[in-house]
Parts: sequence; C-alpha cells; structure tokens
Amino acid sequence: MKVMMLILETPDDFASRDDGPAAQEYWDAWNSYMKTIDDKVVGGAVLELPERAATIRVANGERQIQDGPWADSKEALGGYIMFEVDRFEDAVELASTCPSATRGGAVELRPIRPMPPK
Amino acid sequence: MTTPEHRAASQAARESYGRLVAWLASRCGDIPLAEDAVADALEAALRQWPESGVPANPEAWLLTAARRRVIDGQRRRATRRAGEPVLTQQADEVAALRREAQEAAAVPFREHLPDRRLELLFVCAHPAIPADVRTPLMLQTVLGLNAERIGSALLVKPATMGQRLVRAKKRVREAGIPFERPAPEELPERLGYVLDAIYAAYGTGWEMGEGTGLAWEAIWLARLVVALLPDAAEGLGLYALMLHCEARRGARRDETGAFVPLEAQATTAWDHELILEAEKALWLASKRRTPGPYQLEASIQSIHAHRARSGVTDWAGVERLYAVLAREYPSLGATVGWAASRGRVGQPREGLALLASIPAARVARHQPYWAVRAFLLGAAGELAEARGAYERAAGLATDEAVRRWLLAQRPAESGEG
Repeated sequence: MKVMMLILETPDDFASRDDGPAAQEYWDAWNSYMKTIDDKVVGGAVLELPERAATIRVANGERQIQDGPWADSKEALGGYIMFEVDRFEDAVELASTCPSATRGGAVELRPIRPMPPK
Repeated sequence: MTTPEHRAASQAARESYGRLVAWLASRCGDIPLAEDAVADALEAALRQWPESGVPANPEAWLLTAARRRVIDGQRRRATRRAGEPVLTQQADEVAALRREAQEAAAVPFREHLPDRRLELLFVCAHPAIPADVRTPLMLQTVLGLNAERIGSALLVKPATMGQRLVRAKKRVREAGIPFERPAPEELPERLGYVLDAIYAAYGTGWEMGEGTGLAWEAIWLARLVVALLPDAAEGLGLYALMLHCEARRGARRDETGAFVPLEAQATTAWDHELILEAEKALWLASKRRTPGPYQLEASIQSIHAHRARSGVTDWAGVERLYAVLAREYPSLGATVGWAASRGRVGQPREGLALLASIPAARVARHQPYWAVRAFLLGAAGELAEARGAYERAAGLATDEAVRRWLLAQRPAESGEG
C-alpha cells in the first residue's frame, strides 16, 4: 500500500534550513534519516518556505487569492514523502524517527486511496 | 510535576484497579465486562465520595459496586439470549448468576479478596494470544492504561490498538483460557512469555526521557511477579535488569541535555538506591540456582554498576557473560551486545564477524546494531564505512540528543582534513 507522509515543520525548522551551523544540523538529521528509509520511498519533495505559498478560493463567483498557506497554524507543510509499505503500521514506524517529528514539529500519515480502474 | 500524594493516589488506584479486574474477570471469564464494571465503579466513586466522604474501606466499596455491575451485565446478556431456543442453557446461566451473586456477597473485604493478578498475567501472555498483543493486554487489564497511551508507546495507531485489544479479549472468552497458574512442568515456559511481554514494555521509549515509554509500568509489573511468585529466579532477574537500567536514566543526559553514553557517565549521577535493590534481587535469584537469560543480562548490568566502586569497567567479564548469553539463549540483542563487548576487549574484527552472521533484513531498522557496527568499524580503522554506519544509526534514532551524539562520533571524511 502507498502511504503519504505530510511533513509539518515549525518556523524554527524552516529558519534553520539556510542558517549556517543550524543548517548543518538540520540537513545532517534529514540526510541520515533518508538513508534509513530509501528502500520504502516511492516519491517526495521538499517545499519552499510557506511565505512563498498562494492560496486560491473561488466562491459565489468571487475569486480570492491569499498570500501564504491555507491554514494559519504553528506548523506548516514543509514537504512530503510517499511510502510503499506492506501495512500502515510500517509507515508509523518509519514516521517515528522523522526529524520533523523529533524536532518539535509533526508528521501526518494518510493511506493513499486506490483509484478505481477507468 | 508528580507530587508524592499524586503518586500515592495513582499507586492505590492502580493497585485496586488490577486486583478488582483480575478477581472479577477470573469469576466471569469476561475481561471487557470486568473492566467496564470497575471503570463504572471508579466513576461512581469519583461522583459520590466528594459528597458522602471516602468510605472506611474504599476497595470494598468499589468491589461491591463493580460486582453489582458485572451481575447486571450478565443478566442483560442472559435476557438477550431469551429468544434463543436453548432454554436449558439460559436456565443454567441464571442459576450460575444466582450462585455468583451469593458467593460474591460472601466476600465483603479486601483481606478475603484473593489476588488473581498473576493468573490474569498468565492469561494475557497465554500461547493462544498473539505475541504482539500480550504486552498491550497486560498494560490495559492489570494497569488500566488506555489504547492511546499503549499505542503511542508501541508505535501503533490508537484505533488499531483498540481493535486488537477487543479481539484479544474476545479470544480469551471464546477459547475459554483458564484463569489459573500453569502446572509446575509448564511454569518456566509460561513465565517466560509473561516476562518477555513485561520486558517489551520496558524497552519502549528507552532512548527518550521518562514519561514517553512504559518503563515504570514494566517495573511495577515485574515487582508484582516477584511478590506473587517469589521462587521464580527469572522474575527476580528481570526485575534486577530493569532496575539497573533505570538507575542510570538520569545520568544519560548532561546539564546541557546532551546524551552521555554508559561508559562516560558520572557514577555519582546513578540512582544508588535502585542499584542496591537490583543487587538484592539478583542475589536472591542466584540462590534459586536456576539460571536464565534475564539473570545473565542483569549480571552484565551489575558489572557496569560495579564501576561506581572500582572506578573501572571489567570489560573482559562483560564479554564472557555476553558469550554465554549469546550461546545459551541466542537473540538479536545478545549477539549485538556480544559484538560490542568484543570491541571493548580489543577485538573489533571478531565483533564485526559476529554482526555479519545476522541476516540483513533483521537489522535494517535495528538502531543498536548500526551504532555498534559504527563503533566496531571505527575501532578497526574502517573510517569511511564507520561514517556511513553512524549516519544510519543516527537516522534510526528517535531522540534528538542521541541523534546529535551519533553524528558527532562520525570520523572526518577522508581527504578533507
């Protein structure tokens, strides 16, 4: 089964991505984590900072475009990883060592719903 | 955060909860019914006691209330079946209920309430119960922990953990697993299952601070086994092992919060009261003259604890005990521990050979394996490979302090320095 891991990072984590010594630690943690999951990963991406997001809504014939991510919360989506695992529990185990989860942020796991054949 | 009063109250509640569930479940064979009854009784107590005052014998009060609910529950079930054609079965059940109610009424006080928690532990770790649900079952029925707490510690979604627990309890009733102590010839094996399930609880969240894992819950269960089965040497061995490990928890962080490995820990930061209790348990175990893996593991920890007095670690002694453990009671942990100790006595290549004997699939996500492999590769001078192994170990760490420490141990990349 495929399971999507949404990586919800804190402002601190976003800030440390490009900040000298903090960046070293941030990327070291991520690189060492990626080494332990590479045989289970089928896709993923690192997203640019939430400040670069745009959120679009169209309702009652009116269009609204807003700067920033859709939800104003402590954590913001910083990337995602798609796992291919036998059971959902395997993904829970893979998620439990993810740097975002251990550094004050969170990760959310969702099973991918298989699309019906056309 | 936890005051002595709070701890005493939760200790008393835990004591009562397990005793009441065990006794009621052993009478009706229905764990969920017993749990619901005790939970209802505790809830009623919290409602009534602030107004009416705490009764002179709180546990007798809880027992009476819970017993009434069990009988209600059984009566409801009997009524539900009234439409079924098996009238004799129904009559039997009603007669049994009446007998139950009479017997129950004759047991008013705690002194007369037999402690059936050991029997309940044997039910939870029965061979008919899948191995991965034995630990959760114990934690829920004997200690009253909820599925969320258990699931978080054992890396299972709470809803899934809840379903597993429901299925396991149903299995206890349907398979008619008896609430009894195993026969003497079965006891060592059956006790082994109980102890393994307790130790599995101890291992959860070991890397992390107190509060994440189930360390004290496991120690509490082991203490229960030791109290109710004092002649079992392995029970004492497991108890000693966990106390030795627990004694060092505070020493695993320095004042900045950085991780400190065992051999670098200040022995003054160890909890010497816990060490003393561990040594006493291990000594009592040795007098039973029935060796086993938990006693061996506790002996290894005892050698480490001895550094507090001698100032040095007897690594040769550690290596000898691991060799016995790995040969007599083979396990992944024993092999990894033995390999690490070979490195400590100047034989890193022999240690690496031991690690190479483990199938790769078993260790792909086993953090201690990668940490030990990294240490042995470093000691053998294979610096590039050691670097990769440290990174792999760091990637499997669940605690930031451990991750940082492992990454800091990496030898510098060759050609850079």
